[in-house]
Amino acid sequence: MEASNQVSEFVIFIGRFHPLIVHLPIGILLIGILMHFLAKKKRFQYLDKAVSFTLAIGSISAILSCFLGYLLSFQGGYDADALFNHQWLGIAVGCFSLLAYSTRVWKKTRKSFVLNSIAMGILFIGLGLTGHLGGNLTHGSAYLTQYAPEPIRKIIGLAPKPKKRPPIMVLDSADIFLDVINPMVSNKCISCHNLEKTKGGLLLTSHASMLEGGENGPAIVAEDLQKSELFKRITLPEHHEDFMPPEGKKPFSEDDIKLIEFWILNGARPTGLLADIELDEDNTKLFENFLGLKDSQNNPLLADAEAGDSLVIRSLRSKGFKIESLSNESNLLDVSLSPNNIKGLESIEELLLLKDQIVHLKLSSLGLKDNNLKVIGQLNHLIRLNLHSNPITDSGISFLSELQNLESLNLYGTQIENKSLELLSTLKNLKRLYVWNTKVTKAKVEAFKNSRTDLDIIFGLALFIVKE
Amino acid sequence: MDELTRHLKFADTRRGFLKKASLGFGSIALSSMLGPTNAFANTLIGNDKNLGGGILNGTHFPAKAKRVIYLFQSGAPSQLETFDYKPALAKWHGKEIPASVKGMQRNSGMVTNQSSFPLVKSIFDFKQHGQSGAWVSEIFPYTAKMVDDLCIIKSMYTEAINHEPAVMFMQTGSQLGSRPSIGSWLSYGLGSDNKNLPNFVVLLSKGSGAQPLSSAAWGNGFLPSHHQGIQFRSGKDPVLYLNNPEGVHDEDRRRALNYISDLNQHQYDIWKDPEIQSKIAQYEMAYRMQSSIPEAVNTKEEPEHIYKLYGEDARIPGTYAANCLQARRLAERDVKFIQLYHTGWDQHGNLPGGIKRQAKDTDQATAGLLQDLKQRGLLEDTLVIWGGEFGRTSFSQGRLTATSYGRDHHPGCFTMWMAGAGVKPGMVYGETDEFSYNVLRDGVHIHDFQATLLHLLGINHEKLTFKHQGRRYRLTDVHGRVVKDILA
Repeated sequence: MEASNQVSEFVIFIGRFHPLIVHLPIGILLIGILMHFLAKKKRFQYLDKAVSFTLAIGSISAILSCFLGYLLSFQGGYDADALFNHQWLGIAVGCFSLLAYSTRVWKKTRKSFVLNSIAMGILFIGLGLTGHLGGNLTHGSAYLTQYAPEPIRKIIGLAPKPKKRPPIMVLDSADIFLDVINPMVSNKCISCHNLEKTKGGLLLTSHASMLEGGENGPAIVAEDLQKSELFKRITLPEHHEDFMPPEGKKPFSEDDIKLIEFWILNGARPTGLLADIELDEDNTKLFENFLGLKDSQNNPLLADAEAGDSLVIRSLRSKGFKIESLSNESNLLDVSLSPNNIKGLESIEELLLLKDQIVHLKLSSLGLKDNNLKVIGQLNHLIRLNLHSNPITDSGISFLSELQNLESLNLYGTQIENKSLELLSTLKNLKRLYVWNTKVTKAKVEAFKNSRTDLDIIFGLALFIVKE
Repeated sequence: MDELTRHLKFADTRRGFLKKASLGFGSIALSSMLGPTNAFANTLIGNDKNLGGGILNGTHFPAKAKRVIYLFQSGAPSQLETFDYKPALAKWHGKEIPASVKGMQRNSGMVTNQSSFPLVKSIFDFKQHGQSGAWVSEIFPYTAKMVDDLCIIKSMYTEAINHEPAVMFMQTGSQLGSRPSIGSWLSYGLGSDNKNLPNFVVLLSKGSGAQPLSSAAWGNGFLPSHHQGIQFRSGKDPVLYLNNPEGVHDEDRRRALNYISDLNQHQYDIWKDPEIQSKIAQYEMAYRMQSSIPEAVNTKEEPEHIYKLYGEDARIPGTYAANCLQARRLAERDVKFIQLYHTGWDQHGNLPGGIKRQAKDTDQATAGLLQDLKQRGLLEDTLVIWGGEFGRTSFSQGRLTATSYGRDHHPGCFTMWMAGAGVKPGMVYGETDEFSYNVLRDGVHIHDFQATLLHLLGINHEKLTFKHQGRRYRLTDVHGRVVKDILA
C-alpha cells in the first residue's frame, strides 16, 4: 500500500528510539553534575578527573536525543504547545550540556569554575523540566498525579479525587450520565477541556459546565441536537475544520454518538437511573454494549478472536479452501470451498481447528452429505452458513442445533422438508433462512412465520405477471 | 537503445532500492515494535498471497458487500417519470418555471434557443408500493413490487451536463476519462475471488436511438491494464479471440504460452515495465477462461421458471434481460464487479413513448434479477445499483403537446437506487424541491456515492490510492463522504 503520510515511515521508525535514547543524557548528565559538586569534598576528589568525560558523553547523547526527538515529532498527534516547549527546552539542555563541558575543559580559573557551576545548575533544572514535559507528552499531564494520595493532591492544588462509581452489573442500576455519558466525554474530551487547559473556553468536567459551554455557546442543550455545540461538532464530517475530537484523536464511535443523542433528546439529565428511562430494543442493546454487559461469548463479532493457526490455514488453502479474514484488523475468518471441489471436502474436519475464528462458511454445490454436518454443527461461532444445492436432509439439519450465533442460513436447493423448520426454531439468533427450491411447503412457511416474526424465511419466486 | 535500457534500469533500481529500503524495512520494524501479535497476524493472514492478490491485502473493515452488479442506465432516465413523484407540478403544468427555482443552474446548449421553459408534469401515474410506501411510476410495475428491497436515493447530483463526461464522472470520478473505472479500482484493491474469471466484466445492451458509449468508461486508466473491464459479447464468442485457432491442439497452445511467458519474463527482467507483467497475467487469464467462460455463460441450463422470472427477452442473447441473467450467473461465480450498460434513455423529445419502451425492455429483468439474487441468498453480500449519469429538466424541451414533451439534461438532481448488501432496504433517502429541480435535503454527490460504494466493500476510499505522475490518485479524488444514513 502507498504510504499516505508525507514522511517516510522509516523516519518515524528511527524517531521512536527517542524515548529509549533520551534516558542516557538524563542519567549521564545527572551523574556528571553530582560528581562535579561532590569532587569539591576531599573524600571524593578522585571524581574530578572523570567529570569532563562524563559531560562529553552526556552532551553527545543529549544532542542525539534532540535529533531523534525531532524525527519523532513528524509522527504527529501531539499537542502543539506542549511539543514546542519540550522541543526547545530539550535543545536548550543540549546547548547547556555543551556549555558545561566547554567551560570545564577551557581553563581552570576561578571565573570559569563559577560559570561552570552556574551552567551545571541550569542544566540540572533543565533536565528535570524537559524530562517532565516529555513524560506529559506521551502519558498525558495527569499521569504523574493520577494516583497521588489526597494530601499531595491538596499541596499541588488538584481537586480531590472523584469518587469511583461502583461497577455496573445490571442495566437498570446504571446512571445515564454518571456511568455512560460522563465517562465517554471524560475519555475523549477532557484532555483539552479541563481546568488547566480550557480550549475554546469550554470546560467538560461536570454536567453544569457542559450546559454552560464555552466561546461558541452551550455544549449541550437539553432536547435540542441542533443547538448542542458538542453534538454538532462530533457529528461533522471527519475532515471538517470544526470536527471534534481534533485530528490525531480517535473520534466518537457511531454507537457513542447514538447514546449521546439519546441522552440529549431525553432531557440531558445530570443523573437518572436507566431503570426509570424508557428504552426500546435498539437502545437497550447500545447501553448494554457500552457498559460491557453483553456476554461477549455470545457475539463473536464483537469480541475478536485470537489469530488462527497459520499452519492450519495454509494447509486448508492448499486443499482448495478460500480463507480470508473479515478485515485487516480482524482475525475472524470467512471460509469457502469452490463448488465441485469434492477433494477439499475430505479435509472438512480440519475446520474444527479454526472453530473460534470461522464466522462465515460457504460449502455449496459440493455433494455434502448429512454426516458432514456433524462437523459443521460444532463450529459454534458461525454467523453465516451457506449450504445451498447439497443433497442434505432433515436428519443432517438436526446437527445444527448448537449454532446459537447463526444469523443467516442458506439451504436452498437441498432436500430438507418441513421438519427442518421445527429443528431450526431453537436457533434464537437466526434472522434469515433460505428454503427456496426445497421440499418445505409454502403452507408450512406461512404458519411458521407467525411463530417467529423475527425470522425472515425466503421462500422465493412470488412470480407476478403484469398485464398490458 | 542501449543507453535507454541502462537509463531505465538505473531509474528502477535506484527508486526501487530507496523505496524498499525505507518503506519495506521501516514498516516491518515498525509493525513488530508496535505489537508482535499484530505483526504476526498480518504476516500470516494479511500478507499471504493466497488471497485475491489485491494491493490492500484484505479490507480496511469488514465488507458488507463482496461483489457489485451495476445496472447502468445510460442516457439518463428521467427522475420525474420514474421515482421522483411531484404532484405539485400538476398545477404548474404548462406554466413558466419560476426564476427563483431555475436560479443559476446551468442548462445545456440544446435549449439555449428556447424562449420559454414550460414546466411539465409526468404523463404517467404514480402509486405507493410495499411497506415502505415509496412512490413508483406505472412504467415500472415489476420494480414497484420490489421497493421494500430498494434504497432509493432521490437527491443525487453531478457536475457534468453532457453524456460522455457525465458517464466518465460516474464511472471514474473524473469527467476527463483517463482515470480507472470503479471496477478497475476494486480489482486493483481487492483482487479476485475466482482466479478463472476476470474481476471486472462488462455487458452491453442497446436501447433505441441510443447515445454511444466509449470503452474508457470501463478502462483501467493509469492502473496496470489487467484491471480493465472485460467485455462479454453475446453469441458464439463471448470474449473475442479466446478460443484456439482451428487445428491447434490444447497442449500445443499451452506449450506456446509457456514459451511466450518465458520470453515476456526475459523482457521484463531487462525493461522492468509493469505492463509486461500485466501481459503475462492476461495470457494466463485467457487460457483459464477458455474452459471457465463456456460454463459461465451457458444459460441453456437455466430452467423454464427462471426465464419466466426475467422475461422472455432473456432468451435472446444481447438483450438487457439476457445480460441480467448473465450477471446473476457471474455473481454466483464470485466475479467482483459486473457492469451492465443499457443505452437509450436520452429522451429529448417524445419522452412518453421513448421512456415507456425503455422501461418495458428493462423493468421485468431488473426486478427478476433482484428476486433471483434474493432467493439464492446472494442479495446478502451482493450490492445492486441502478441509475443513469444525470437527471432531466422539469421543464419541457421542445414543444409541449397533450401527449408529448421532451426533457433536457439536468445535473441538479436525479434518482438512483441501491439494493442488497449493507444498504437499508425499503428506504427513500434525500428530497428534491416540489419541481424536482434542486436538491432540498441530504444531497449525494457522485463522489459521495463512490465513497459509499467503496465503504460497503470494506474500503476506506481515502486509503485506496495509486501514485501516478507524481501524485496519489483515488476514485473520489480529494472529495467524497460516506452516506452513513443509508448503511444497514
